[in-house]
Amino acid sequence: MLKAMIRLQWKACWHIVVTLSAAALALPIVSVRTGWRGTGEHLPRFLIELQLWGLFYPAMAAVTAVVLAAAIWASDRRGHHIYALLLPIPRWRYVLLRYLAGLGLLLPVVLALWIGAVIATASLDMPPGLRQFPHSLTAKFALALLLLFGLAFAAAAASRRALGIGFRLLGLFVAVHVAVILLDPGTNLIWRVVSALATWPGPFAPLGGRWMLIDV
Amino acid sequence: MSKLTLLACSVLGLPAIVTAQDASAWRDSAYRITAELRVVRDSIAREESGMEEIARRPGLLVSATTKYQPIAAEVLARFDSTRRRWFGEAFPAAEGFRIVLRTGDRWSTRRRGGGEHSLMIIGLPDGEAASRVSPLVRESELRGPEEATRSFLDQFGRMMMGATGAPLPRWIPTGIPLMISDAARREAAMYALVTGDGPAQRDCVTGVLAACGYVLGLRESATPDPGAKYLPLARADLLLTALDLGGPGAWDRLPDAPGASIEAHLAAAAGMPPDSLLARWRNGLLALRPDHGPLDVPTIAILLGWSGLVLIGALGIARWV
Amino acid sequence: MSTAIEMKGLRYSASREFSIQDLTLKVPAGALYGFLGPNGCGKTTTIRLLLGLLRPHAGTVRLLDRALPAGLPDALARTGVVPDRPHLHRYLTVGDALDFHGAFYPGWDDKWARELLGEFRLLPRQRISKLSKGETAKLMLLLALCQMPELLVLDEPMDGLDPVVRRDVLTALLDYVSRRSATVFVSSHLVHELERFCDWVGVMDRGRLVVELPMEEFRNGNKRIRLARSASVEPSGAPFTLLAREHQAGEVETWAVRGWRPEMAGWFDQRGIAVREVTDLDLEDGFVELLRAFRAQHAGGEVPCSRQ
Repeated sequence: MLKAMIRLQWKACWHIVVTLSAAALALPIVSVRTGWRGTGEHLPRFLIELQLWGLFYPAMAAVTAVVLAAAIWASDRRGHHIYALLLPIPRWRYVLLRYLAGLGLLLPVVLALWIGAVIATASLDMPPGLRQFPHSLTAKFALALLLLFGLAFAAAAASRRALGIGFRLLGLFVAVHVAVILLDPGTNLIWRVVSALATWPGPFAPLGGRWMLIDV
Repeated sequence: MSKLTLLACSVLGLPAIVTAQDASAWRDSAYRITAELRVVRDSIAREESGMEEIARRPGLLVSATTKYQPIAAEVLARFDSTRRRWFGEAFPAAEGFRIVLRTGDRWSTRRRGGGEHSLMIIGLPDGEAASRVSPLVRESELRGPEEATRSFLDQFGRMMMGATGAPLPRWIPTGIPLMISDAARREAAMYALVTGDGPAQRDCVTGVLAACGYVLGLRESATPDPGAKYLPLARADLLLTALDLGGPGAWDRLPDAPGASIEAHLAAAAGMPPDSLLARWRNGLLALRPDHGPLDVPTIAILLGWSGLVLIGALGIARWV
Repeated sequence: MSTAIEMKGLRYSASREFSIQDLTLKVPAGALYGFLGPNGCGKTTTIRLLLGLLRPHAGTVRLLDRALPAGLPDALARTGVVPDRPHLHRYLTVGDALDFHGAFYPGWDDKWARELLGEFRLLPRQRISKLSKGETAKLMLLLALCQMPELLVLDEPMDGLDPVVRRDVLTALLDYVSRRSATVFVSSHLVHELERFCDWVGVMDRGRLVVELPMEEFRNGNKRIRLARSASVEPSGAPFTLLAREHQAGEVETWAVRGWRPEMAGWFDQRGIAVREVTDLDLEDGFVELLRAFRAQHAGGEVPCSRQ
């Protein structure tokens, strides 16, 4: 069943996977080649530019996750999930098959990024004081992609009812936030929630931090 | 001669330049600068007539037209807090200085497009003999309060360095980067420290303070072929580290040893021996060096853990019946 | 297992205007059950309730001896379904659809699938989005049949198909049934379509089951009786079900009845009413009269009576 599902999803998404893989391959190479001016006094600026390029890795992971998750579920959503519901497996198992097959679609993108990172670092004459992290960076990208894909997958797989409940909860939270601000202007609930999500041990904490292909 | 021509002469340093062969060239330059300053004076007058004074402090005035008024106070606060942190209550000169910066929507002293929206920062006291208008600033096209504040602080920093009597402007010709955050500046300095591949630069990393003194342009090298020195940014970072370590009043102690070496000036500001200052600076930067690559065990745990929870959630909310 | 499908007291409300009410239905194992009803009466909704695509508000459903919803995956493993609207992934080819579908059914007969492809004149490389309506219908039936199911549930399988395709579909269906003794539950609003092969019929209207009986009885028991009218005679206590009565010119009355047997003529004799003629009611006419009587009963309680 998993093989059949992988084939099904590949048929639906192969053009998206190829495009994203090309972008993933190019990203490390471009990030390094645009800033590299050899060793010496250019290195600090190169590292600062590489830090800025580092923002593109979590962004790329987010775009890949959202686009693929939406593409995976598009056909089912169009058919109101009737085909899925008529298959002789429990619903959760079907969703799990979709998820695992979806991970298979992420692999080419991760692999492309890894190849790009290896090419980018191999093309430079690395001075002392600098270290290369093509494997570590790729692993971080893969794990970030796993998390973001899970979130996007859940949203895309959710029933209308679940999405409706989610939006209503969000609306309720915003209403509470406004009420709290009116009572105590110094309290910002939204900021607190965002902070909790974006700082350790929140899920988005690792998306910040250093995404340096080459570092000191 | 008009006041403006007099001003132009003083800018050009008249006594040092006049020779028989250069007289006409000097006169032409003076007239040109006079004309440019006239443009500046007239445009300031025109703009000031449409502007409202937002804030005035000892030594500073900020004015703005309607559009920039809400942010004028913010600009002033930002400038003031940075200025006080590094320079205390010191100003470049008692008799007056003037840095005039204006920003608007695509505005410049030469091209007056969109001049009806302006933010003006003027350093005071403002005397008739104001003589320190930087030609770079005059000709700049400043896009917004952020850039204006940065440019003003840079000019202010240069003027402050020039007023100390210590040879700081020669030592840091690019000026002090006051507008970038401490973290960004220190990180850039750390990169310069760690990636230097000259012999003296490597020795500094491994702890040879004499080598650090050399690569920072403070001492002569004891070894032959010591290699390159650090960029001015690293020197600026050392200066600001010395001021930080010296606490309030550090800037005032800076010129306390006239004729002494730059190293002595910095040590006076920091309130500690030169070698201690160098060691604190070096160790502080090395401590910023990341101790692991992009991925570490806590990051792996966070990402895997949350991914698992999200998957369980996905299985639960995918209920289509 | 004597019953392939069993619904008891099923209730479901789709909207304020329409609901399924107290639906109790039994499909014997091995039957070819025709589920008849006009458009919008609730046939598709009933099938969706049967297959677990909708959750009833009350009542129980058993499918191939498995109670829903707990036993649904097991029941669906033995059920082939052709829904009213195509539900396939349109970007697949015919061959891909067979491979995907077959992966989920242990009993999938790939050899027969390839044979049926040839009989249906479908090519493995054809993209599903490019298939015509008839080709899509054939493909959906093929997928359902090649699972080798015990039960086939078909929702308006012939709707909009030309006679040639209809014949192909029907042939394949009957061929399968004869080989496997499978139960077939097929819905339609076309009486003649079901008459040809069903041996049981259930009639639905406005969310309720009107009647459920063997096709033979449905076909043969509906009669039109011409009577010499005398004083008004009430049908209460009659051994047949009066569907409609019509007064005609002169002393003639025509009754449409269900459940007629020849010996029932004696009932009229006992009341002094002469039976002039007994003719078979066309199946479609019988269906229409059945619905009319049902609606009248639920509206006002009386059998419809018209005058000419």
